[in-house]
Amino acid sequence: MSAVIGALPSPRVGRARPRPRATLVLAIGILAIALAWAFVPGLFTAHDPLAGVAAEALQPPSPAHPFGTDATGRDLLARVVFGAGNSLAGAALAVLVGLIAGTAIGVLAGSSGGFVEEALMRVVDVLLAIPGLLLALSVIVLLGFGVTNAAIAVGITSIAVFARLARSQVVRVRRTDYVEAAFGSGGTFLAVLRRHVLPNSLGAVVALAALQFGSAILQISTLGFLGYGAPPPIPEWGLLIAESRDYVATAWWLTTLPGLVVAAVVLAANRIAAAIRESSA
Amino acid sequence: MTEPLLTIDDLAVSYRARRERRTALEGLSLELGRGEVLALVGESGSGKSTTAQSIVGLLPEGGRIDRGSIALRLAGGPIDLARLEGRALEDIRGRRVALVPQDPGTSLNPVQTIGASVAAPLRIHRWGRPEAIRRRVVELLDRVGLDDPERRARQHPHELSGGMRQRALIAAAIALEPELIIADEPTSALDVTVQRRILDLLDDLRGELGSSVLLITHDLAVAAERADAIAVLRGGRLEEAGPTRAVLEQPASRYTATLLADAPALADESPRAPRPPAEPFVVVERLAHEYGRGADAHRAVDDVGFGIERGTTHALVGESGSGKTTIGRAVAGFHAPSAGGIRIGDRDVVAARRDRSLRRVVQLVSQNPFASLDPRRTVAQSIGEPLQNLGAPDGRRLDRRELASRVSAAIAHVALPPDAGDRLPRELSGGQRQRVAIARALIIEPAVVVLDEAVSALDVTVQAQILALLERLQGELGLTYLFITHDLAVVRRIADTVTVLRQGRAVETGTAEQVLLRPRHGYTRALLDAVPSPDWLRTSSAAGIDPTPLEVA
Amino acid sequence: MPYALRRTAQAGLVVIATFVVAFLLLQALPGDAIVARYASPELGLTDAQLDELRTVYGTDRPVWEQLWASATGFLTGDLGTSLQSGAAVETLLAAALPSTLTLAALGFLAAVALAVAIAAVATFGRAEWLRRAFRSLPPLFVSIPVFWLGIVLLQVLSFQLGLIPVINASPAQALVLPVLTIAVPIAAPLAQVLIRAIDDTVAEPFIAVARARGAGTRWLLGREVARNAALPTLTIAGVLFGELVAGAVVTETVFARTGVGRLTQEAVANRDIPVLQAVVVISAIGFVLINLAVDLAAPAIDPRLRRAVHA
Repeated sequence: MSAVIGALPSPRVGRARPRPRATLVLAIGILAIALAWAFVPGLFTAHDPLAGVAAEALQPPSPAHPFGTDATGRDLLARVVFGAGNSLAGAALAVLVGLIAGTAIGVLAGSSGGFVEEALMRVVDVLLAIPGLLLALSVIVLLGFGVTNAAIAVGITSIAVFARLARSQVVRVRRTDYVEAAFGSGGTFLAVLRRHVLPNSLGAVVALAALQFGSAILQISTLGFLGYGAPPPIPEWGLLIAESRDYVATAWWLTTLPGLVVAAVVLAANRIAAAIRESSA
Repeated sequence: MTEPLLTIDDLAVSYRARRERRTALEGLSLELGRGEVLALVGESGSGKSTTAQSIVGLLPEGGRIDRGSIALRLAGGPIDLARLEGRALEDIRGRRVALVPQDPGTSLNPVQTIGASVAAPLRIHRWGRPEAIRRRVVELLDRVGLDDPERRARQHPHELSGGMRQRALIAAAIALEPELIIADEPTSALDVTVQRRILDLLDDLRGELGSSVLLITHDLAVAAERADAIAVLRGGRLEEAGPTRAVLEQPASRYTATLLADAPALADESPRAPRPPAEPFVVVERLAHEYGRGADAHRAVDDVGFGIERGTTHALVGESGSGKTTIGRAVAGFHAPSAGGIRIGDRDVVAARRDRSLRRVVQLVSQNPFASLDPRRTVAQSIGEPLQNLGAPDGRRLDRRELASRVSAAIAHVALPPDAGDRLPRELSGGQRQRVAIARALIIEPAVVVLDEAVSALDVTVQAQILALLERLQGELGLTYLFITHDLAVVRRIADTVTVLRQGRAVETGTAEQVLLRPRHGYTRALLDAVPSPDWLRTSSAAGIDPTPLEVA
Repeated sequence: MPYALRRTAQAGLVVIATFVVAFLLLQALPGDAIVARYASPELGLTDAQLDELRTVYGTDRPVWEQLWASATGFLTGDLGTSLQSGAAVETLLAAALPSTLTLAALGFLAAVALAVAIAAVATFGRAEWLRRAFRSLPPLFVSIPVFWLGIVLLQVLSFQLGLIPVINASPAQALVLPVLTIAVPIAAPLAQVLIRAIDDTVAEPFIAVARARGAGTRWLLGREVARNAALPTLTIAGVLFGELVAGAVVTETVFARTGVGRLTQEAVANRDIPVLQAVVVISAIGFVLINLAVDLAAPAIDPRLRRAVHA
């Protein structure tokens, strides 16, 4: 270790100096492509994601099939492209559930205080106490399997995180001098909430939403991998990887390439979240 | 003639800012003699802290010495600190050059005992065996005037007051009897009476150890009182340097003359003359306030009363914990006192506290204008907010055009540039932000304004401008001010009447002339004595040449 | 009330509330678990047989009575009966636990080692490019699907490089890939928090003061930074526990290992609610206990918290 550990770098002048824009541009590009796949998949592949050509089964990547083909001769790229819709729509739904319910709880708790805050935050404690995946599995058992239910389950697991952040932001902003000054200039509770507290609290919440989008893609694909999401043969990213597990030894592309796509999209979402957080801080 | 201990020659330092390099110091040359005190004086951004950081090799990331040398002449021959690195530099730091930092609140490791912090330089430089170090630490804590040093050594920073922490930091700095002590604003975070005792301690130790002191301060009065020589910095350049008395009596630079004229402690002014007594407009009676309940209750204000006549300024003076802010906030209607009454005219402030129309009568301007302005709202939005909430001073609702014209009038009134309305608070200087806060308080045309340390965070030249602005507005609008401050020198400039507070109690109330010139209470005298000013200046006037009017901050 | 007592009582309340929520969510709300599980036509059970099953599982009684029975059962170590296998849930868990605990403990240790190494190079690395590269590792790690990582490790290390045998592996060899897989999602947030905590501490004025006393890197790291950075790191222990549970479910499924994670996965697939409920409640207790321990231990690390504790 001593070879790489050098002298202590001096403290940064401004905190967290802005990271290079190039990675941000790349991240936006990746997410734009993924969204385009979701909305107009037909533009990106000529192959059918569901019907395979038996004679072309398990072919490695080639110009005709850039991602190769699976055991039933379906084009893997087509399945990944068509799977984007399921995965991204699910992630968007999950974020929406968590964002709306969590922010409502958090803003209500943070701006009302007293018994209401106490009660709401204990509910949040319970939601936090159950590990995310187990909570999602419990909700799925309750609602049944499927893409939409998996998305709702993932959304419910993020309610607590949104609620906590929204509450702490509201409480922080409420304690600032400028909110006191706004009351001092004759503002009513609602006017101050609308003009000062919400605009200054929600930047961090929006950044969290972007972060949760990436993490929802991961969680939904995990549920899909475990078999609780979309039923086969619907293309869904987690399920794609699960289906190709039997060919690990012989067809590397079947697992590797869809996984790389998932990682790239999640990484892009996280990069954008970091950019939002920096600009709203 | 002996050679100076420290010679800085043509030092230039720059920082990396975004894509370009910004100059922080441009060709600075200085000398510090053995056993002498050199004060480095300047306002924020003048480069005085950069100078200190360059000497100890602790420039923040992105900072770089572009040229020049910093020669430290030790027994073994001179060393150029500007070129020293790594082990060699670490060997000098703490042993030959020691630092007394600015903010004792954050300069001690919060999870270490005081003893461990003071022992650090001894252990780093392998001064002796653990047992000997332990004894030396107790001896040092005793030397810097901490009571019961054995116990203090076992305590943590949060258990000590600011002054005690600064004493501990001084103990650590002198542990190895360094040749050079750099004191970077060593007292600016402390109360005035504590400030005096800490500066006395530094003086004593310097005499004892024969060390030289580089005293960095924004306060010309502190420099005048303590230093053998003064160097004035402005915008990274040396404005002038020389023996203290020569610089202050015959400043060569107009900037120094302005600084001198604006430094309230050095100003040769008498307090405002008393007015004939009249019916008080603001009446505070038997005010008391407690924080907490039961056994934890802490009485922040205890039986304080005073009256303020219409159109005059009453100063509430006290150190931290005196209860001055609590009183000011109660007068502004921000919280209800535990007991006592507050009247403005015929209005009962305590009863009308939740009544929004009270905001037309009394407004508060707080210490930190950066924190009291919403960072996402433009200056015009902030200034117009009271009108949006309450309507015009006569209660009428205003349309958009009228609102805009009243806001531009308010911007002009506090002498902000006309285009300031579209800017965000972070694009303004500290003085400009305070002007915005004042404009916002005044746009609703209140009768009373509570100014809570409203000029304390500002550089002296800006402070002088804001005080002049407040005086002008008072004359034009007939405003009544409750002026809260820790700084008696500022009181002399602005107050008609004064209440001196100590630990929640009023120790003395009277006209400014009586309290400042003929104090009756010992604590008031102690506060007055703590205002730094050299003996020779008390008799002679400093104003040698006319000060330059600076651009509006 | 003393802080420790108040904090413990609060933790107890959360556990009780979680138990009730888990019970209502899983047993009361879905209607009739017996119908859901056994009423499918292919099993061909008669209504009388279903009623008998209801009596056996106690689902014919009112909800509050079931809740009470379930709660007292939990307190006496009776976690109910698996709908799938008919075995006692506590027996199933006891059999599965050792394997999962081994995996989790080793995975956690590996994660800590990995996170400390990443954070050290990211903050004190010799060159700026090195620090930047290591700073980008945690965001990369949190973006990788865990199940995919497991499969890729298997593919590369076992099938292509042949480093770890797929069949007839010794118990130790069989642990290598699962431990690596579970370590990554835990190391990522840990490294992230460590890096931020070190950054924050290094920016504190007392670090500059220590450097002005001549302190070198080793002194700064060991005596000034470590303890100050420890506290924010400890506060995410609960989150890491959750990651560990999720990691166990995924890793045990990928590598076909027996354990609590596999048990959970099968319980969900078969709607075996008593098993799932037991796992949920026990995990919640684990989460609450870890956070309680962190909160009670924090004053030992940061003396500033002691005053609040005694007040």
